[in-house]
Amino acid sequence: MEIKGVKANGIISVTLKGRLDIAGAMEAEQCFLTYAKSGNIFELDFTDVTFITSAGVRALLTLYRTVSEKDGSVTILHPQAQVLEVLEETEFSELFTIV
Amino acid sequence: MKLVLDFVQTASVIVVLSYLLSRARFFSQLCNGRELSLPKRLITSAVFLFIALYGVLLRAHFSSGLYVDTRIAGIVLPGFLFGPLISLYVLIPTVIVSVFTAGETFAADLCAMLLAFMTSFYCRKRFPKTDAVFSGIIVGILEICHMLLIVFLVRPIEAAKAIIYKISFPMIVINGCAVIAFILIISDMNERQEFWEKESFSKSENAVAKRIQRSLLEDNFSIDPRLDLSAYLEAAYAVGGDLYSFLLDGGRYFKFIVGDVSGKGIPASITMSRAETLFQEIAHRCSTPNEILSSLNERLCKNNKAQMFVTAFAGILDLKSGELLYANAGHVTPYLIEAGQKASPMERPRGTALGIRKDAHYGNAVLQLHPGQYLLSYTDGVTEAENPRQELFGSERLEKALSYLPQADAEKVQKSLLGAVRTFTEGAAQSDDIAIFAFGLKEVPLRCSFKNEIPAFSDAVEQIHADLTSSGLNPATIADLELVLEEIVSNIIRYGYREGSSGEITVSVWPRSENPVLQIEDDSHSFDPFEAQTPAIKIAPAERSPGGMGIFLTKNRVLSHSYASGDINTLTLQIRGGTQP
Repeated sequence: MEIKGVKANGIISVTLKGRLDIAGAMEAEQCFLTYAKSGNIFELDFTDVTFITSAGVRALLTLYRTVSEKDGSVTILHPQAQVLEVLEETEFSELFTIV
Repeated sequence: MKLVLDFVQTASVIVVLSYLLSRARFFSQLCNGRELSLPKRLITSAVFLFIALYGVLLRAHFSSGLYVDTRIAGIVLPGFLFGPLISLYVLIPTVIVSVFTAGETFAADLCAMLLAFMTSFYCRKRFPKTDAVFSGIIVGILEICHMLLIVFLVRPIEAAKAIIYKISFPMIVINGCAVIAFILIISDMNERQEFWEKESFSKSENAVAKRIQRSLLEDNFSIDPRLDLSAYLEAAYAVGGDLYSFLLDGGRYFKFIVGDVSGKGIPASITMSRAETLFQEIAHRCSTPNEILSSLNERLCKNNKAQMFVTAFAGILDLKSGELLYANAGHVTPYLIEAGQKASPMERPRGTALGIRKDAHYGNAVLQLHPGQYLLSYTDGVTEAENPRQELFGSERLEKALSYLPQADAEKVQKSLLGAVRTFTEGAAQSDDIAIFAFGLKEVPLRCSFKNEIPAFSDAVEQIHADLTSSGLNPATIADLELVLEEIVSNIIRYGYREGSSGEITVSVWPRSENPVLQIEDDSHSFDPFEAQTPAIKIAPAERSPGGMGIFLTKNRVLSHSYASGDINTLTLQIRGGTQP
């Protein structure tokens, strides 16, 4: 999994690339927690996330819980069909703004 | 007149004897100069001894009062036919008997018999092939000598004259004729015997030719666990012109050819052997079936003054992806067979039969072969099989025999067709060579084993993902399958194994287009992930515990599952496949 984060205008933009499976989710969770120290408005570019499992969803949930304590928000940009499907199925899509 | 009757009587006895002797099996062996056991030699000698002494012993019974002396014939015949040994067996007793029955001609008879023995010995050496008339003349000459000896040795000369006057003509004629008759009869029998021997030789020659041709055919059908292959070939005669050949290249490409040489029997079989060998030689170098056909065509056009041509169907099946490329050189249409489906003729690229035009071109066609689908190629001996009413089997009966099979594998496909042909022909003689060649892909699982640790599992997933992608499975189904796989395996690693205990997990996938099957075997303590509770989805997502979410996603993607625990726990799941609700 490739993860790149940039902070601009108070928004932390994270571009993810690869599979958000059990191995990818561990990396992502580490990065999210690090970035969350410098802000609580997250924009995650999911264009190149090809696959997600419950482990990936849990990583997103951890990020959500961390930022929502500080009135933050998580926006997911351009999720692929499989990712969107899993998010909707688990109803976690309600927690995020999905564009 | 009485004399004539005596002649006829003697002649009949000789004919009957010669006939009986020539029927004996050992007789032909003896004629061919083979050594015989003592009893058989004695039997043969006894027969000739009987001929020799016939006149002497039965002298009193002849109504003419003359005895018909056949001693010379009895000694010369075995000498001519079998050599001196048997002749000697006859000579000695004849001489002994002659001593006891001696009359005034004894000395002359004895000399004549010795002369006869030596002449036959000489003639056999000089003219090994016994000719009836020649032998008859020799015996005639011997009898003349016999008469001359009587003239020289019998005294007074009047007695000799009287004897000669009475017996010379019958002696010469009867001995000469007896020898001619005897040799004619046995040489005829001998020829017949030789004919049968030759016939059985050519039969055994055919059997050898058949064995050699059979040995050219590949007979190991288990060249790869992914391939299900069955082939049948039967020539109408001992040898034939139908062929099939195949090989596995690079552990992945199944290259094959099915062909039919014009004509049948020995002429066709020679070209068949050539095509078969050429295929094995060139197929490794060819990456497409049209290359195989072009290359074979080029070689078969060379030195083909007999204008033998070969129709052929060639293909290359990628055992990994199931992609089949095929090309055709004037061969009959192949079929695609699937259990419960109608047999469907395959699109057939055009092409001229091999061995006709050097510049012939061949095109490739492509087909995705799925497990459960079987390709059938055959030769026209199948469709042109005749029943006793001269009706042809035809392609309609072929399609019927291969449609809606309750189950299918390569052997079933091949045997269903062969069985239908056999039933149809009702045992009528096979008029043309028959070849049936069927193959398909077995449903072999993708298999992968790894240690019960997440990094090992991640590496395995990479491999499984690559294999599934090249299996041609729909990407949405692959994603579902991989999601289920991860949820289950991560659960097993987390909850199935005791902290720090090491184990091994094996994953097998049968990547069928409809409902692929996933099987997970592990050596943890009994743990069925499906027993875990579905999360209470009513609880607001933010407050929900993330545990149980994986099993929830899994259940949505699984059609059925079964779990068996033991030393190895086996969880088998059928994936719903396609898009989710």
